[in-house]
Amino acid sequence: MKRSLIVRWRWAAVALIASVTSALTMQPIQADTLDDAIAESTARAPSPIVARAAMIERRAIDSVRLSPDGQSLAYVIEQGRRRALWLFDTISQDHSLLLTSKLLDDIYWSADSQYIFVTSAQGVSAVPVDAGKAPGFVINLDRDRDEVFYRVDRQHPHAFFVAKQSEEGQQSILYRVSADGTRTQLHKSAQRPVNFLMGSDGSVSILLELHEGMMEVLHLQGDSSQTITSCSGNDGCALYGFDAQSGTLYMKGRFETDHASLYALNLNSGETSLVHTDPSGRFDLASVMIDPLTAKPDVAFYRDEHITHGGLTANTSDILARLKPRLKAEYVELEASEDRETWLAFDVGPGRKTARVGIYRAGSDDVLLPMETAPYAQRQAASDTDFKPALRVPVWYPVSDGGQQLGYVTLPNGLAPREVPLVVVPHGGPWSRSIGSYNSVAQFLANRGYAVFEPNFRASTGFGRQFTLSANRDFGNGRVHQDILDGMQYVLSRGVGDPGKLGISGHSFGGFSVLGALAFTPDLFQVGFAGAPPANLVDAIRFAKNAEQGPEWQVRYANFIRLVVDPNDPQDALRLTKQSPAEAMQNIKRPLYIWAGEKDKRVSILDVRDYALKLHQANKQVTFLVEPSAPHSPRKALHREAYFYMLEKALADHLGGRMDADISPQLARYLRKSLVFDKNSICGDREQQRQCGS
Amino acid sequence: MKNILVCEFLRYRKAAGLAMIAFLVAAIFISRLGPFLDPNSEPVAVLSVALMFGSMAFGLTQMLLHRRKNHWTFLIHRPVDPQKIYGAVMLAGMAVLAIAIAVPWFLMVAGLDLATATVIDGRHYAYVLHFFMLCCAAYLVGSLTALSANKGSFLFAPLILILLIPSPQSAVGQFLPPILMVALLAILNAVSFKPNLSQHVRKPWAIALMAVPLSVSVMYGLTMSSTMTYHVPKFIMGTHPDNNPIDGTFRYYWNLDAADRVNYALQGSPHPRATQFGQQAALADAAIVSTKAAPFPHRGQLFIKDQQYALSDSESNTVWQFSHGSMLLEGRHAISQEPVGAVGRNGFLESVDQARAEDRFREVPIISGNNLMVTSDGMYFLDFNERHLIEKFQPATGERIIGPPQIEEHYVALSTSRSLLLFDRETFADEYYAAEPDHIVPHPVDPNSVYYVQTYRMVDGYLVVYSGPDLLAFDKPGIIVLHSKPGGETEQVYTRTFDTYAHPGWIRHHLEMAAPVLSIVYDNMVALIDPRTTDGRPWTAERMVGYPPSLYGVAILLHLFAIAAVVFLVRRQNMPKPVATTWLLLVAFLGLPIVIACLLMNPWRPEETGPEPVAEASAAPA
Repeated sequence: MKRSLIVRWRWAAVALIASVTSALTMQPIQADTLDDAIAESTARAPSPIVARAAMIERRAIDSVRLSPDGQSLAYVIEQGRRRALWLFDTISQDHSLLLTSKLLDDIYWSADSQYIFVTSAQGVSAVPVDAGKAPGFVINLDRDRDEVFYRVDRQHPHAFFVAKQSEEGQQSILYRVSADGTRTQLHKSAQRPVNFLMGSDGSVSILLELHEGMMEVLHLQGDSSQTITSCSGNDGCALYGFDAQSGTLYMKGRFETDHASLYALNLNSGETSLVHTDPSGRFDLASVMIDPLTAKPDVAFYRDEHITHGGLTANTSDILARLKPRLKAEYVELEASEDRETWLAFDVGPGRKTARVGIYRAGSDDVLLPMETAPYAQRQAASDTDFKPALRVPVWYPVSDGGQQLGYVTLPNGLAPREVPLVVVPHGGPWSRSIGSYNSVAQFLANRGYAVFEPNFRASTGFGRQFTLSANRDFGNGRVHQDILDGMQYVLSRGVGDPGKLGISGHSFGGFSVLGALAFTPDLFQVGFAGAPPANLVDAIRFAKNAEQGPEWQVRYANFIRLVVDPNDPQDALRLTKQSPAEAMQNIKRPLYIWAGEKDKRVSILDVRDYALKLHQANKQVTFLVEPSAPHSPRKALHREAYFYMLEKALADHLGGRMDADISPQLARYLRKSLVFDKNSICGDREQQRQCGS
Repeated sequence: MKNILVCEFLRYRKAAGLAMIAFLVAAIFISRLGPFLDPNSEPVAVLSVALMFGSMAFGLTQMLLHRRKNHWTFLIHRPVDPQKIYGAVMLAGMAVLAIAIAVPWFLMVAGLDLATATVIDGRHYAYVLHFFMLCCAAYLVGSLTALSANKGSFLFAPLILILLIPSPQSAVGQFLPPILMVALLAILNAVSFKPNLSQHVRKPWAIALMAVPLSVSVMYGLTMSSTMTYHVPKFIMGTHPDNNPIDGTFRYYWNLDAADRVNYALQGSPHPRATQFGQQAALADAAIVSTKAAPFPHRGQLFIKDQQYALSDSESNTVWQFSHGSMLLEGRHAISQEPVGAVGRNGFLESVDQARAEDRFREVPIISGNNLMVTSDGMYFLDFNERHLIEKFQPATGERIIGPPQIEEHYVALSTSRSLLLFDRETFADEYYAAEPDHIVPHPVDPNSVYYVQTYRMVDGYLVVYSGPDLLAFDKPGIIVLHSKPGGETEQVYTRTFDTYAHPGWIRHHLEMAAPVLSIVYDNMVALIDPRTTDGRPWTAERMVGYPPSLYGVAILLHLFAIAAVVFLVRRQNMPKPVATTWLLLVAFLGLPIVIACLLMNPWRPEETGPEPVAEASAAPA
């Protein structure tokens, strides 16, 4: 009791200091457009309530890919339970259906542009572009045995790389697989490589392998291998290209610096040189395009406040400079044909639910918009009619120990931002980040009349290693939580949100933050919504270690030990447990809504259930919904709708926002069945009984 | 006669009482293990079989005790017609059976009806009568074996099992065959009950009544004869087609791995994707489903014909059983046995009394799994907690569901009178929405002629392979390969026919060859009793059947041989003219089985035809 009082006073003091600090620093610490956005959104007409189902509907179009010869565009359209693979001929500008299938996850062009490789739960299929040929399976892959598709082989007309387990399951074998199913063994090792690059002779030259929680970059020469460099999990190492002629490896890494950048490693001389880094010095390199003809990088991407790219050659710089104004897009993602004559650009501005796609030919003055004539366009246009996305702006804010962090604020149309409730949405991970593109949760909440703040607290990725490490294992009632509060106070100080109407919502680690917020600062938020929340990271890490597999997870696990807690060290585990939300659950005063998936492999349903039951026992105001078939997130449309219904109901009841009053009989029945207990009465009080149909 | 009946009954009264108590104890014990009227209850099945064997053993023992030298003389030499004496003994025996079997069974059913909320319909009581008749028939087979000189009397026993196989749609079809069987056996016993028990029956009508049913049993014996004359020698020589599949036969196709079957089925196909389909099959997930009609339960059928006892919901701890009386699914609490409502076609009802005519099901549904009900015109999911009924699927007008859903790894298959429907498994299991099939594959042939359907999941739909030894017509094996694309289009890729067979015609159709009339009559009888079963074949279908031409020749030869054999036996036995004529008429109609029956029903050494039995001669009242 005494301790909890001390903790409460401590945080109250911190919050007070943060508020005072924020108030004193009302001016933006870095120029942003928040004030303009406030003015603009206030001036806008209020948005009508868009139906819940329409707001959360998945994008109709997916996986748009330009062929290496630049002649065709392949894209996938959702058709209920099936997905359709369409082809757009950039010359004739015709759309043609290639395949309708339930076995279609993602698509990849073959190097000769004659096949589209389709990955699915079954394996890899080849779909010939020639209408006279039939699609078919090429190879089966068992994901449960860590058999994976890597990418297309650019040195071969129509082949790709996969890793399969050996018959006895002891070794992972790397194969090149042709469209006709012919396999060539390239490499064999005890553990599946994270990535690899091919030499000019068609053999594996560079290998990125996991070794004792570290990633090692190996140079293979015949039977021998030489370690070039090694990286930790949070270095974000990635292999991009290998110029065999000059013996130069292009890769992403940190190499003793804070930010991940593009480096060239000359394997002959052993020299490492920086090729490109974020000119602002604030962000990690996101990805790189390699010119397949020169084997050299030609474009570097950074996720800063939005997304920017740097042309690494004069040609690409010129093209990028011409492309954006022609597409009338500020923020784009890119693909290019092999000869770099044709470019595919995606307008990923924050107001675009579905990216606008443009095809630009070098030297041309026009941009071709293929999706305007695509078969799905009409349907999409109809669903977008009533929806005007809210403004979403990046904001840099100070935190109480002097640092700066980047967050995003989404403002509801036509409402005075100062008077609307503010919902804080911390991201999951924690090694992840909120980005500047369209965010469906933020737009959903804005449509319901809330201002939304998405902080990138310490431990977020993309801002340099130091930023990630600076969380300093202080999760729960610690530094990370304070960052979230500092960001929120700053946003409030800028005139966004009513300080008396605060809510917090998050999924996974975001849900952990919600539990923490309600437990450590019990008077601050009026309501919390937590999806798949771990209440104690120690338990969550232990559970995930048993449930997950593959080298990627091992890297992640090593990161957990390094950056969060070593669950095998009793002292360390006790340290983090003591500052976890589970330990302070008795402090919770405000209504809490919890969603959990029973098939979750990351957060144990038993842990979530245990936490929720304890709250229930303690007579806390908690609503707990369990979806029996869902993994870490709801998948089916009805389950997703229930998730968002619970969220909007929670916020509407306690913050006073709007909500879609329509509730289908199926949703009503689903809620009645799936709610384990409902002390917040989303289906139980007299008024809502009618709504849930009981 | 009355005295004999009473004496005979008193002789077994203690045993009957003890048997009744033993039955009740066993039944109560079984009912503690699980529902007593569960059609799939193994203990009840064991108990039933034991009771039938017990009845037969009782009949045999009862008559063997009477057959002892002095006892037989004591019994038969009375101033009463022997048939009346037998009648008294038989009725006493049946009274014992009634006390030992029918009464306790009735008490169990009535007890469950009165003391629990278990759904007890008239059909549960009717089963007591039906089972009692079967036990009586078994008892009469036992007594006939003891009384008759016929060496094949015990062969009547398998005929009792045949009575259990069909699932008749009417009470007449249900009860007439056992009634006829009991009457037939009673008559045969009475005829056999005579002072000289070693003497065979000589009355033409009695010979016919005994020989015809015996021939049916003999006919099944003949089916097994091919094992000795063909299969075993072939296996010994190592040339049996099952172990050495012959290329070009359906059997060869059947012996292949799933991955190789498509290649084989498409040999010779001009389809441009034939080779690719074959290659794809090796990578595809394969599954086997059936399109054949599964007989739906009919109203009032014996409860042992039910597929599933009830639906039970563990969450609400309730049990839901379909009542043929109310035509509703009636619920009760599993522990308190309190009624918890009912389910009709339009959803849940608070109680059975609330049901209106339109709420009642028009036909008895198949109940399956935890919450599924299927009728020929719809499939329903039940949510017991929410008390919600969802019509999961309804076939198009004029189309009927002909079997329960079959759950495979990637889909749920449902066979209708027109098509094979493949549903997405997840969508099918969804409790909130009706299901639409992903694939509708029109049956290329009568679904009942399909042996099995093999499906291959391709990236662009399903390869659906229909096959069977009678796929294209009777004895016309074939394979039909279809490609069903997502979105509804189905393309017939190829039809492969087979002209050669793994087994020769005389093996494939040796029953029809050896006993053509009996075989056809039996098929018709089965089809008449249960028109929905595929085991029988009505005359209309029989006429369409085309056997190999050589079979007709062999059948005629066998028939002539049978006639010759009976002529030989008749002459050798020096049978009286009416008896000889009876046998000749029988063999002329029924062929080979009658030869066996004739051998069994006559002495193997020539019998002296002496004067009529003394008892019959002195039967007149003194």
